[in-house]
Amino acid sequence: MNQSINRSILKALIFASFVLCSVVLLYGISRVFYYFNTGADRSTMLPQFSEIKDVYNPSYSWNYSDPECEKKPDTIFLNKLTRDYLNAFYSFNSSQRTSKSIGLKDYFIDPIYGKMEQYLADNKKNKIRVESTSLSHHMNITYFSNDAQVIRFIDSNVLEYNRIYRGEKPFSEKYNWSNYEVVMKLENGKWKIRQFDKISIQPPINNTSVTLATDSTDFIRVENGTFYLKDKEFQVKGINYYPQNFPWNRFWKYYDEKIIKDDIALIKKSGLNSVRIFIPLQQFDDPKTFDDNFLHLQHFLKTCAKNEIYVMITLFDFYSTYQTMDWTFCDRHIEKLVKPLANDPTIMAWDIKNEPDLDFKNHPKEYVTSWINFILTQMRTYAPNQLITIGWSNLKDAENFINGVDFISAHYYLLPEDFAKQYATLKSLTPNKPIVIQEYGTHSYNSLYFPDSRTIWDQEAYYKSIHEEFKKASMNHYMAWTLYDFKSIPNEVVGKLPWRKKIQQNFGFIDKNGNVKPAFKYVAPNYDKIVKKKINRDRYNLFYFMSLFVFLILIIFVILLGFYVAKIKAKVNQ
Amino acid sequence: MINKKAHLFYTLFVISVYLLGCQSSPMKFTHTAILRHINYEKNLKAGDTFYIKTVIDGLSKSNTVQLHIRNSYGVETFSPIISKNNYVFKIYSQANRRKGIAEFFITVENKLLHEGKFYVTEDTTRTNFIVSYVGPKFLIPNVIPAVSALSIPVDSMDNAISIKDTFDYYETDTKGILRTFPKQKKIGSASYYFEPKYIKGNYMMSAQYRESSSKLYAIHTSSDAALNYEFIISGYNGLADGYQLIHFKTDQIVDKYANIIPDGTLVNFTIIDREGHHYFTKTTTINGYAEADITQPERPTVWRVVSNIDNIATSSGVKLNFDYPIDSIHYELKDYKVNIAPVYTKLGYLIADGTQVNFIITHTNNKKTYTFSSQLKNGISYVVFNKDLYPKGDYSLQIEILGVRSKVTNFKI
Repeated sequence: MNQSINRSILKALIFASFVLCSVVLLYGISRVFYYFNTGADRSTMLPQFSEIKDVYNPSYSWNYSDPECEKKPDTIFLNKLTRDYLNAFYSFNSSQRTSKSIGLKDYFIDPIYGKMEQYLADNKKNKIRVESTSLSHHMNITYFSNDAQVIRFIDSNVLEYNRIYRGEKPFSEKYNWSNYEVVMKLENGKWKIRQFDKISIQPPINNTSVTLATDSTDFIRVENGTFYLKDKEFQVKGINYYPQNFPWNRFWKYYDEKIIKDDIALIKKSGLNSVRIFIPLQQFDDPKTFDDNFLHLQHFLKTCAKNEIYVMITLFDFYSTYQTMDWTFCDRHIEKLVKPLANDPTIMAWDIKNEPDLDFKNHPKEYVTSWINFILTQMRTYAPNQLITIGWSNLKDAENFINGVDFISAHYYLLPEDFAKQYATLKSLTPNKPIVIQEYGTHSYNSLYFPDSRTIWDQEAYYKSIHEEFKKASMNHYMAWTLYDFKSIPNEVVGKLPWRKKIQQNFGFIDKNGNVKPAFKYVAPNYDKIVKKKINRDRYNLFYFMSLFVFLILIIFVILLGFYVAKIKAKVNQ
Repeated sequence: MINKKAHLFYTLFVISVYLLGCQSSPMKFTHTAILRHINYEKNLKAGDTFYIKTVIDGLSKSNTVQLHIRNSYGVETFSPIISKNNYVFKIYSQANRRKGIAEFFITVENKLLHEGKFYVTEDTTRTNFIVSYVGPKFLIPNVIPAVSALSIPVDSMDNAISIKDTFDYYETDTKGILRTFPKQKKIGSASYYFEPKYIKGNYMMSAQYRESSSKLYAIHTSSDAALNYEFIISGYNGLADGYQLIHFKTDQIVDKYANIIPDGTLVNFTIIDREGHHYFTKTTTINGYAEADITQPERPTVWRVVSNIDNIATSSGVKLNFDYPIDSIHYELKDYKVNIAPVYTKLGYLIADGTQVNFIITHTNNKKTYTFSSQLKNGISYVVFNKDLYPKGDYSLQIEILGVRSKVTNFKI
C-alpha cells in the first residue's frame, strides 16, 4: 500500500516537473524568437535629439534690436529657436547635476562642448554637482543672418537658482540674475550654441511692489495676529471637504454641481464658515483635463461665495519630487491656476503644500525647503491679495517658514492633553501670526479584526477634549478632518492595506448612511439644525456579534477537518 | 609570556575596535576657521596665472580647504598651497582662460567659508582668428538679394575679443575689391549687411581685424525671374504639307537687371489649331535662347502659337495659316490601272515621299463607295485595280492627296 502511494507521488512529481520544464523551455524559445524579431527602430536612422522634458518650462520673451536686419524671425522660427535654446539650458543643468554629458552634444558645438566635458570630468572626480535651473529668460536679438542660419542675442536677467554640492551636502545656495552673450548656429536642423559667455551676475532684487486689488478689503487679511474680514474679526471654523462618493483625486474627475451645491449649503447650515479643498497636481496640469477641472473649481468657488463660505485651497497635492528641474514646471502650474483667481475674495488662503515635512524623510531637506521658498516667492507675485500658508503635519514642523507665510497652519492628530504645550511653543515663536489647526480629528472605525478600533463615542470624546484644549489655549481657528465618511478611497492615499484604508474612510462627521455623528456638535456651531435623528450605535452591534460567530464556526470547522485527516492517515498506515 | 600575549591581543582588539569605529562613522573634522585676509585680482586677462591668496586662522593640517570656481561652462575645484596659515590657490586652467564672470567659493570641510567673484577679460593682445558666418551663399535678386555676415574675432582661448579698433569687411565686386566697415560693432562681434547684389556672378567676401583675417567666402548671385519675351518663326511656308519644319526661336530671355536666365530653363511652346486641339513642345534655354522645331500640319488649318516659362514669363501669340499644298491632281485611268502624274506643291517642289493617296470608287447606281490608299514616291503613284473584287456596273473614281481632290473619271466593270 505504502509502495503504491510512493509510486503515485513519484509519478505526480515527474509529471509536474515535465510540465514545468516544458513551460520554461517554451518561454525560453519564445524569448529568443522575440529577440530576433525585434530590430533597431528604423526612425533611428534619422538624427535623434534628446528633447526638453515637459518639466522644464521657464518663462521667456524675445525682443529685437537689429534695425538693419532685412529678415525678421517669425513666430514659428522663434518657437523652434526657443525650444532648442531652452533644451540647451536643460541639458547643461542636467549635466551639471549628474556629471554626465548626455545630450550636451546636441546643443553645444565644439569647442564649447569639449570644454564642458572637461569640467564634468573634473566635477565627477571632485564629487561636485550643481543643482540648478533657470526660471526666466529675456532674449534680445542683436543679429540675425539673412539666411536664418545664425543668430546672436543677449539673454539678460536670466533668473537662475544654483545649489552647489561637494559630496552630499550643499555649500552654496543662491539666486542670481545673469546675463549671457549667445551665438547659435543651425546645424542639421538644430540650433546649437557656438558662443555662451556669462557676462555678468547680480543678486536678484526682491520685488515687493505687487499690485493689490482696488478693493482689497474684501479679502480676508491678517493684522496683529488676528484674521479680519472687512472690519470684523474672522475666526476660522472650517472643515476639510471631499464629496462623500468622490474623495481625493476623484473629486474633480467626477465633479457634480448638484452634490457640491447641497454640500456647501449643508456646511453653511451647520454654522461653519470655511472649507479646505485640494488641487491634485496631475489633474490640473494635464492640458486635456485642465479646462474642465478649472471650470469645476470656478463653480465651486462661486457656490461657496453664494453661501459666504471661504475657501482654503491646497496646491500641489500628490506632488513629492521637489527636484530643482521641476521648478519651472511648478511655476507654470501656479501661474496658470492661481493668477486667474487672484482677485477672488472667496479664496481665504492658498496652502502651497499639504504636509511637506513628511517628505523630509524621502528627500534631502534642502530640496523641500528650497522648493517651498521658491513657490512662496512666486505665489506672492501671482496672488498678492490672498493669504498664503503651508499645511505642516505637526506643530513642531510648523516652525519652518514662519516668516514666509501669512498665518501658520498645522495638523494635530496627537493626544488632546499634549496640545496646549506644543501650541504654546509655536505661538511664542510667532505672536503676530494666527495659527490655524488645519487638520485634526479621529476616526470612528469599529472593527473586530483590525487594530485601533474606535466608535463614534470615542470620536465624540476626542472632539470634546480637543476643543476644550483649544479653548484653554485660546486657539480659535480650526478646520476638522473631515465632513464625510467615504465609501471607498484611492490606494494613493494610504496604500492598499485594508485596516489603513478603513480607518481613513471613517474620519467624517456624516456616515455612509447620512447620519450625523455626535462629535460634529463640537465643530459645528449649528449642530442641532442639521441633525434629523440621533445616532445610536455601539461598539458591539449585531454585525460585530455575527462576525464573531462566523469566525468561531470557521475555527471549529478547521479543527474538525484536522481530526478527520489524522483519522484517514491512521487507517492508511494500518 | 602570557602577559605579553594578553597585551598583544588587547592591543589588536583596541586597534580593531578603532578601525571598525572609523568604518561605521567616518572621522569628523571640526574647525573654527576664520578668514583673516583674502587677496585676488578682480579683473583678469584670460590666460594669466592667477592667485587667490588667503590667510585662514583656526585650521589644522588635516582640514580640507578647497576653492571652487564656477563660470559659464561649469565648476572647477582647486586645492591650496599651504604655508602656516597662508592658503594660496594657484589657478591656471579653464577657470582663468574662459572669458566672463566667474564666482568662487572657498570651502573648509565642505562648508562655505567665503565667496566672491572675478571677471576674466579676453586676451586682447593677440587675435587668433576670426570666426565668421556669411550667408546666404546663393543669392537671387528680389528674393534673397543680400548677404549678411557675423564675425567674432577670438583670442587663442576662443574668447570673443571686444572690437575696439577698425574692423574691415572686404568684398570683390564688378568694380574690384571694396572695403567696407561694419555699421554695428557689438561687444564681442561685428556684423554687417552687405549691399544687395543684382548682377549675376560670383562675389568673394572676408573680414579682417588687426592682423587676422577670416576665411574667404564665395557668394553666387543668380539671375532673377525672366521677363516676358518674344519669339521668331522661320521655315514657315503656309502650306499644310505635313513635311516642312517650322523653327521657333525666342529672343534672349533676361531678368529685369538684364541678367540672362540660367541655362536649362524650361520653355514651352503651345499650339492651338482651328479645331481647338492643343499641341505642346518643350525645350530648354542655352545662353538665354530657346529653340524648337515642329512639322507643318497635313491638313489646312490655322495655328495660334504661344510660348511661356511656367508661371514666370510668357510671349505674345503668333497666328499661322496653312493652306492646301497642291492645286490639282493629274492622273490617267486605263485598263483598271491608275497612273498619277508627279505631284508638285504650289511652291513647285515634289510632294514628300510617303504622302498618302486615297482612291475613292463609287458605284453609280447604288452609290456604294469603296476606298483604298497608297503612298507617293518621287511624287508619283501607280495602282492596279483588281476588278474581281467589285460587282459589275458603272463606277466613278476620285483621288485625294493632302485634302485636295481630283476630277471624277467614270469607268465600267
